[in-house]
Amino acid sequence: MTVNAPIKHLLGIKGLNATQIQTIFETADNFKSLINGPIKKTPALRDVTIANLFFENSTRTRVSFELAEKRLGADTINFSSSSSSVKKGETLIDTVNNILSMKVDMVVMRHPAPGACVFLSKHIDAQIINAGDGTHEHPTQALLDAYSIREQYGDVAGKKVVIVGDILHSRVALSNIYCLQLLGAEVMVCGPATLIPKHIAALGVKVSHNLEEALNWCDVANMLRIQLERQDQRYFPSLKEYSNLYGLTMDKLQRLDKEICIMHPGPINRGVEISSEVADSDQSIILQQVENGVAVRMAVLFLLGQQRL
Amino acid sequence: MNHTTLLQNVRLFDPKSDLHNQLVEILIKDGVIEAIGEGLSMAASELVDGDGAYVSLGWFDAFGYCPDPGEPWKESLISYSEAAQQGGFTHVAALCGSSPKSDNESVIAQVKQVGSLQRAALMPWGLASVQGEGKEMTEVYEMHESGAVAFTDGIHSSSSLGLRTKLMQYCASLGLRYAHFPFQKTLAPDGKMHEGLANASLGFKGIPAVSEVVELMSDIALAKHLNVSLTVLGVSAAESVEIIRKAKLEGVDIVAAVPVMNLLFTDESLSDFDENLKVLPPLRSEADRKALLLGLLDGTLTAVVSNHHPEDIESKKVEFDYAAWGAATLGMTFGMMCKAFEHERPENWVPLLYSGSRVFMGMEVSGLSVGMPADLTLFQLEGEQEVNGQKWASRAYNVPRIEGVLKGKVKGTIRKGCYMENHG
Repeated sequence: MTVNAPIKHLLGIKGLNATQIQTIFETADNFKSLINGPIKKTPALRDVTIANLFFENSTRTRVSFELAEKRLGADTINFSSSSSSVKKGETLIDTVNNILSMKVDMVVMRHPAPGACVFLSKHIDAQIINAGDGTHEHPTQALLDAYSIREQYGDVAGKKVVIVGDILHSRVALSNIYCLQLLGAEVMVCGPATLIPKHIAALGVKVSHNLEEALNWCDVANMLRIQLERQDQRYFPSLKEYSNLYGLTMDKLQRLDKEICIMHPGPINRGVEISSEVADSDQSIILQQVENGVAVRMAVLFLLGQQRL
Repeated sequence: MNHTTLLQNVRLFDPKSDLHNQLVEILIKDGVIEAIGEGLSMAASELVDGDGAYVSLGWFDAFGYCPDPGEPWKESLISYSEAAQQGGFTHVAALCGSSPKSDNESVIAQVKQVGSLQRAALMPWGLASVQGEGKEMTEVYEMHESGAVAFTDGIHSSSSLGLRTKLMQYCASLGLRYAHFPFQKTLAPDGKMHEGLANASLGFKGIPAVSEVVELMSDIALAKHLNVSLTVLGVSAAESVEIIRKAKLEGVDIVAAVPVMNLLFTDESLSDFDENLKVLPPLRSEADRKALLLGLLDGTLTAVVSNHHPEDIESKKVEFDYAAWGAATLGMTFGMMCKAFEHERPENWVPLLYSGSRVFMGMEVSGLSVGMPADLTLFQLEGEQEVNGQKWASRAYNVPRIEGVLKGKVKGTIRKGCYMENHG
């Protein structure tokens, strides 16, 4: 039996295998129990300093990581592009090396450029966790999504998951596809053709442009936000038309002859990709995803910090 | 002046010659080939032992980009020429200048004057439109008179069909060469790499092959309509090769060039986000790469160009998204071709280096024979060169990183009868 060396970074789901993901889930189970108990902290990463470098706006991911780090007893520093030297023309390598010279052990980074974490990993020594790099990957989101499906159904294998919406500009979609497939789920993407990469079927996913067809097929629908800030041109005529075609309403859910599980990575645009009625319904596990995010990120930080992944 | 050089122990490479693949001596007098044969030993001013290396007509690179005048720290006219000589070229044609640009006769005259004195002769391309913006035609004939060998707006061309029509018509009427990079940018908004499986898995927006194909098809339609020949710079897609093949059968006079990077690398090479492989036209699929090789071997495509595009470390050692386009390829063009054509007989592809590129530029190509100017390249097909760790003459940072060795080695060049040996 070959024993692989522990991985240093979490740059994407692509670098993981199913066993490693199961290890993350089992560790997350323990942390979820911990944070639901009376004492929510453990000193597992005491004396470890983690820099949260967010070169792009984020609220929930940054807060979730920060909370996970604090519950593991790590020291944290936060750095965002609005307060950074980047706007003064400093390179990414210089910015990060300046922070690392203050004896930082791990870097959690969000960046608008695909591959930015891979690039950084070639030039610095610290451990890197990808908190979303452009339209490439968002591995911890995929892990918490799969973890939430596992929690809901007991297992991810055999489940049918449709990812609906702006696949072209999403980092969540790609990581979800890799993660769910590794765990044995079937994946479909659904949305207007202009928002789906032309060759995505080659990744082994089904493609549909009809939401009702997709909902009839799936066990889980993961609704993505329209990323208007990433769209350099119009990909559909109007939000109203998009919402009519691809927005998930209670009416569409009730036409199904089964009950499916509804997910959303947030932030939600109520009334666009999902109606308030659906988002707040019993079928929605959106808030469980947020809760699980902390446990899964604790697991990732702990396992990488302890070099056990 | 009576400077004589005797080139000994060289193997002549000219498949059209009776002496092809034979060990010969070549006597050069005052920059002209005086004799080719055996037993020419006589009192020459200079004796050069070729160590059994091949000797061919001097290689010619038909297209690259030099940011001098403007940004000589990235590459100067002198270092461009030195990189070319290191790569085995005796002549190169390049679009020069970032500020000012080559859209007027004074820049062309300057480049021509400096370029003609270098180790490899550097001949200027002229911009076909003012500032290369694709809006207003430049004074192409004035620039031609000052030394411009051909005209283009390069890969960043945004010329309208209307302007392109006028350029094709006007240049053809004056016997000038106008080349167009077929790339419709509006079909690849924010595209960073070939649209295929690799871009889908890396999260980049794609540059579909159709963005090249639609421009090529409209250029062919225009060439037919105007009854002029067509010069296509930067073919990268299999479908383009097929379109050119069919158009040639229909009688359209087309010459087309392929960037050397597209013969060796594919979009899969970008899986590690290597910013030095961020080039235009983009590295496409393996099927595209194979179609380009086949197109060159069967004569559908005319030439291989270095598409040398030097950049400095500040422009390249950044996130892939923000990295400048281009790769510095002049020094290793031959090595990359050796690798790309490793299963082919050299007679089938080495002539691309001295003949194909001249045909592409509409220049006369003659055999290696007595009475010809002694512009020659000495090379080995079996030699090897380390790529990483090689000391490149180019100032550029963005030399592609290739693990291991590349077969083939340039021993040296002779220009105007002067031998310049490559070391290392």
